[in-house]
Amino acid sequence: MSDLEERYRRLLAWYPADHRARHGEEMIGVLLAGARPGQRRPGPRDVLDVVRGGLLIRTRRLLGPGSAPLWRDAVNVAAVTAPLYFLVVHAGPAALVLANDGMHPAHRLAVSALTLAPDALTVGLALRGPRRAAAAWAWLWALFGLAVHTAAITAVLGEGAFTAEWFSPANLALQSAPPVIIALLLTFAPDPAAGADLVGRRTLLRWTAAATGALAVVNAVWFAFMLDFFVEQLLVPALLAMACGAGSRTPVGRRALLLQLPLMALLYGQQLPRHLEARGWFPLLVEVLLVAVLFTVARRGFRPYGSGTVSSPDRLA
Amino acid sequence: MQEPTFLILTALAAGPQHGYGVISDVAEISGGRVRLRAGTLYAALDRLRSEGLIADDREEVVDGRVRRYYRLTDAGGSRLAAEAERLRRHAEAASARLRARPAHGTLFRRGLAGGAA
Repeated sequence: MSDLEERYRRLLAWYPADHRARHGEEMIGVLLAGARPGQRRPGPRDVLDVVRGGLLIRTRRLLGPGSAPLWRDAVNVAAVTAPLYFLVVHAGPAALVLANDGMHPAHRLAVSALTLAPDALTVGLALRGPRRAAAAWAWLWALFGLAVHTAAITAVLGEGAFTAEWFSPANLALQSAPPVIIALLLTFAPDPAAGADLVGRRTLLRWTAAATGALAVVNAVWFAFMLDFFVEQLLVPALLAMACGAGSRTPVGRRALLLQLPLMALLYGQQLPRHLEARGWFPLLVEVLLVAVLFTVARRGFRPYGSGTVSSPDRLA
Repeated sequence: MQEPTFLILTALAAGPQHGYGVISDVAEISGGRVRLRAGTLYAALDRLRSEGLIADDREEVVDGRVRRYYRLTDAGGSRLAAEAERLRRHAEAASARLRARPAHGTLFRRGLAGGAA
C-alpha cells in the first residue's frame, strides 16, 4: 500500500462505518485515479472535499427525513435515562444524610427523602405511570423543587446553610436548568416506557445496581475515613463515560446522548473551574484521559486480543 | 436541483457508470468547468440513492479493487427530464428577451440626441 493510499484511507475515517465498508475501496480507487504520478500526500482541496463529504453524509443521516423515528426513540430513551442518572447520583448523598449523627433523626429522614423521592417519582412515573403525569410532575419539580429544597435545608440547618452566592440569579438558573431539561424531555417523549424497553429493562437495572453499589462503597469509604480519594471524584464521570460509550454503539443511542449533552455540559461544565482550582490541571488531564479511554473501550467492547479467538477467529471476508 | 446533481444524473442518463467514469463525464459535459472530487461525488451519490433517483447496477473488480456501477432509476429519469424542461424554458425565455433587446447603447445614444434637440 502506497503512502498516498494509506493517507486517503485515514481520511475515510470521517465517513460512517457502513458507508466506508460499502464504498471505501471505490473511493480509494477514484482518489488514486485522480492523483498525479508520484504524488505522496493528498492535496489540501482533496482533504477538504473528502472531509466535507463525510460530514455531509453524517449530517444527512443524523437529521435527514429518514431519521425521525430514530429521534422519537432517542427522546424516549433520554426521558428515562436522564432522571435515572440523577436518581443514582443522589442515592449516595441521601444515604449519607441518614448516617449524619449531628442531625435530628426526623430531619435526617426528611432531607434524605427530599433528596431522593422527587427523582424516584419521576423515574417511576416515566416507567409505569401515564406519560402526562410524569411530565407534569417533572415540571412541578423543575419550577418549585429548588425553592422547596432550599427552604427545607434552611429549616433544618439554619440560615447559614447556604452562602449568598447560592442565591445569585446565575447560580439559581444553573441549578434549575437540569430539572427543566428533564421536564422538556418528558414533555416531548411520546412513550418513555418504550425507551426503557429499547435499552432493555434488565440492562438498565444492571447498570443502576452496579453504579449505585460502586458509588455506595466509595461514599462509605470516604465517610468512614474522611480521605479525599481521587477515585471518589472520578467514579461518576467514569461510570458516565462507560454508559455513554455503550450507548453510542447504536444510532438511537447516539441521538439520545446528543439530547442529554446539554445536561452533561451543565453538570460538568460548572464543576470544571472548581476542580481546576482545587486540584490543578494535571489530575484533571489524567481524569479526562481516563474518561476518554473508558468511553472508547465501552464503545468498542472490551477486546484486548482483538474480536476473534483461536477457536473462533475473525472472519477474513 | 444543484448543478453537480444535474450533471451527475445527466452523466448516468447515457448508461450505468462507475465513480471515476461519472467524474470524467461531468467534466466533459460541462466543458471542463465542473470538476467533481471524490468526496462531493460520493456524498451526492449517497443522497441520490436514498432519494431513489439512482441505484447500484453491478460490480466489477479491476486491479484488485471493487468498481461499482450506478444507473439512473425511472424516478431519476423523470426528475432529470423535469429539470431539463425547466432549464430549457428558462433558457428560451432568456434567449427571446435577449433577441428583443435593442442593440447595446442605442437607447442611450437616442436619449442623448433627443435631449440635445
